[in-house]
Amino acid sequence: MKGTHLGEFEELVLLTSALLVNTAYSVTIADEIEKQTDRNVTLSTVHTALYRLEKKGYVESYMGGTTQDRGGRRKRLYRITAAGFEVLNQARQMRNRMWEMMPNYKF
Amino acid sequence: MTKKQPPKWIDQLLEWYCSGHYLEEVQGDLHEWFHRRARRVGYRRARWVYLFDVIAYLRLFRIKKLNEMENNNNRLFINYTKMAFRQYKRNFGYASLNLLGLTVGLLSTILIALYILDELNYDRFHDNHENIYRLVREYPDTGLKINSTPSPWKPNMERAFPQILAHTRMGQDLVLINSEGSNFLESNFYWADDNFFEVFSFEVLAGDRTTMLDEPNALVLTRSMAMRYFGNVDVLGETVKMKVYDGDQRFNLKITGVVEDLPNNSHIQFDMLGSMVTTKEMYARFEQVWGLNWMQAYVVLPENVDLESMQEAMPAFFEEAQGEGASRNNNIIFQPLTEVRLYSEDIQSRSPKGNLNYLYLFGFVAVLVLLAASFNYVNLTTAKSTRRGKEVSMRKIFGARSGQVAGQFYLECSLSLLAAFILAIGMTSLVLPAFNDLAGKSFVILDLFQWQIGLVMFGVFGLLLLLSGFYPAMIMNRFRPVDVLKGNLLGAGGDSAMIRKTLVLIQCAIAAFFISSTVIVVSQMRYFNSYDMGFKADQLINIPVDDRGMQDKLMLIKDRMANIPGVNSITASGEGLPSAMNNKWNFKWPGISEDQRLAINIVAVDYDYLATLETDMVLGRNFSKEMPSDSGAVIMLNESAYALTGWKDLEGKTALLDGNPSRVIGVVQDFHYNSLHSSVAPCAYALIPPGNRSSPDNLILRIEPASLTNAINEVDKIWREYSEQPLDFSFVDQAFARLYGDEQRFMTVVISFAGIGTLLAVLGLVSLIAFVAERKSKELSIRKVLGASRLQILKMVAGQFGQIFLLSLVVALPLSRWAMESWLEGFANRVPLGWEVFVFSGGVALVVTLISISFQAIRVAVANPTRYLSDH
Repeated sequence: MKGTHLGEFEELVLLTSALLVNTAYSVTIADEIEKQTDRNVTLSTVHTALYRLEKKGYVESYMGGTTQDRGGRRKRLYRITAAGFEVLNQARQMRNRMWEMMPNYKF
Repeated sequence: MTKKQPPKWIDQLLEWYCSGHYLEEVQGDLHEWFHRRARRVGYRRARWVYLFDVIAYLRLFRIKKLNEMENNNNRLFINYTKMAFRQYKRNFGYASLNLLGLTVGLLSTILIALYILDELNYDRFHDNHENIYRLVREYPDTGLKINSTPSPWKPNMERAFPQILAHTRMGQDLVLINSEGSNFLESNFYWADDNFFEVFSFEVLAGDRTTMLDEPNALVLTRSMAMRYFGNVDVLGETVKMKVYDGDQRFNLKITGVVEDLPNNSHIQFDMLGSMVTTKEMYARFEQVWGLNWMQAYVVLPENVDLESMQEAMPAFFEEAQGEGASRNNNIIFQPLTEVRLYSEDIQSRSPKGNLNYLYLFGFVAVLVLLAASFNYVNLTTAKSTRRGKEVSMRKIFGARSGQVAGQFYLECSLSLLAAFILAIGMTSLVLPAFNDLAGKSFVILDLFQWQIGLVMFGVFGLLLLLSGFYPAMIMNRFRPVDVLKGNLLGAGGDSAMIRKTLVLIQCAIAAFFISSTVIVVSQMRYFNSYDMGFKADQLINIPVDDRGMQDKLMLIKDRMANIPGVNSITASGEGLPSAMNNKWNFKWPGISEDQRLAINIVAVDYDYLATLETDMVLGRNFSKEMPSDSGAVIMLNESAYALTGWKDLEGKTALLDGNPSRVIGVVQDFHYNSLHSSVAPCAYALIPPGNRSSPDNLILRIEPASLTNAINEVDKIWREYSEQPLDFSFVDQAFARLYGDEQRFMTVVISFAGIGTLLAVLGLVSLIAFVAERKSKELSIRKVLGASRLQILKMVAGQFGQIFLLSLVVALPLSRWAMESWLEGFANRVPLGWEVFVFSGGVALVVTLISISFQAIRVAVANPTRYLSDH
């Protein structure tokens, strides 16, 4: 099923946009990812990932409010769709399943 | 003061490329991101990073679509492109020729640039190349410089100069490899110090770079050697049986490393390296011998090393380490690794040297070829575009701004330039193998993608675009459309005759330059071939005897070979033919002032030397078996040495060679023992018995041509009785010819590019004249109608070029002489450049120009006048 595969970074973006209800757009998502994962994120990567996700139908977007910092420009806000939630859930279940099969390592 | 906003120009950049569909959100996000960053790192840095953010946003899907841009301009853009192709189709032959000329010019430039870059990049692939130095041994008393150095330098230098970070050496040895029962002679075998691969960054395929030369009996091979002996490169741990000639010892070496074949642009070339510790036993005494030069040595010095103070410390170093007076004939020069290839003319070494003068000359040729091609292109393009006055006028009437008209011409030019550049690169990859053959290099297509070449191409592209677009874009733009459309076709554009005449002048000059340079190169080579060497080189064969064990029996071998039918004469000599003369001694005679230091080449000979070479005595007598005293300290000098002394006769004359008095009995004619690049240096000939470093190690035979094969078979038979090494002989005349291999190669390269350059220049001339003739066609036709003869017409067209042609000769001939001077400087024996050379070149240039002119002029002269006059 080409075109619906969820990349690692995409999954991260999707997850974050699900967390930020009503305020998810590239800046807040990048900010949140930096906080959560402690890694440096380029804004354009997040933006690109969001577009891909929208194309795959996992998020939907709408134009929203503006702030002083944006010089009066509107934002494109995102919210997760049912399909997006489903695919996140699948990813999680797949992980859980595999974790349950994990042998008992002692390091 | 830093502002609290992102820089305007970067925002404009974003607005310029970003599609309107995304612009609002993207710019908003970026601004917000900018302020967020500014709060952390300050506005100053944030403003910088903002540029990277904007560039990072560049994705294909965010770029403006064509239909988002100003609509009318897009349509016009498409129309311009269409026009460009139509123009090309209309002038197909003409435009193709033009394009082809430029392509060939570019192609030549690229090839020459590759060659020059390769020479300049020699040895620069080592990571640490800036800090590696080659040690050169200098003999201050004779001025001789040699890249071979004695073994004791390393331990003593390491003690005396703490600046030296690493010191590594390689010593060549002639070895015999025994593989599957057969013996192979390997002359590219070296013993190398354990830190060799730490100093040099040759690519290691297998084995540990730092330790592979640590153990005794370790051997490192190049890939092709491994392939030759084992058929694969996975050979670590294999054993190689080897015999060393000089030490007369056998080894079983274990392979501890395989390296990639050495890059071509490395002056260090080896096939195999044995670990230096292996030699400890065999050459133990070498560690104490200061006089034996057999190591190439390299040191790594710190980045900001004070070379001068090290150099100044050298005399003291030798006095202290080697003994009183040692500094008189010992000095060390630190030669930067990057200068080894091109700045080693006066340093004796095995590695082939580059020639800086050639590079300058090649560069000059490249510039001229490119110039010729560019002038052609600019000329032809502008000439053709002047015919498009009507089109320009129509466009202007329909409202085109002058910027748009200029843009159209620039677009057309850049399209055809682009085509030429792409073609040139494509063709380069096709002719690269042929060029490699010609120039003795091994370039691959990947070498084309160097930033320097890119830079040159980019610069040329820009310049050509500017120049060829300039005339139509700027001048034609100024025409008044009414004038042009009313039939005053060439409009009020002014006469560009002056410019065009200058261009013709330059084209003529370039052609004349190439012709004259070719004539000079060819005459020098012809001079060489007909030069009297002072001895007879035909039917002479030279056999080097490297095996030390064999040298003791040399006289016996010689006597046996002398009896072979077909061997006319035979001699044993300390120097082969041709010879670089490596044994230099200090030369003095009674009466010479103490502080004068002269060097003389010492050549060990026997009684038959002069007879075998067929060279003559000038004064005195040859060595003679009848004179028992001749086996003592008796020498003959050659003419140059004799001239040095200023003696009038040989009565009771004695010379001091390295301080030993020797009686001078004869003077031998100066004969050329080496290429004609060098003059004949002072030489002394002496009878030196075996066991000395200078004693005979060559056999020179003169063979009867009729029984050549037979004689060589017999020689080989005798040789095999004494040696395991296959007979290695060379014909002296061929060996001499090989010395000029570089010149031959140089000659072919110069002549080929000169040919291309001349062709381009002539091509330019032809089309320029065609253009002029066409412009004047109406005038000429009217003249014809009124009764002018064909010859008169011809004179009129060709006549204007007479002065220009003469002027171009005045410019080109001295220039070519000046340029070739640098090449001729490399020869001690050079052809005298008389006026004949220049008259001849001028004549050739005249013929070439005349042909190109009359070709076009005749066309106009014989044409039916109505053809041009009815064209209204």
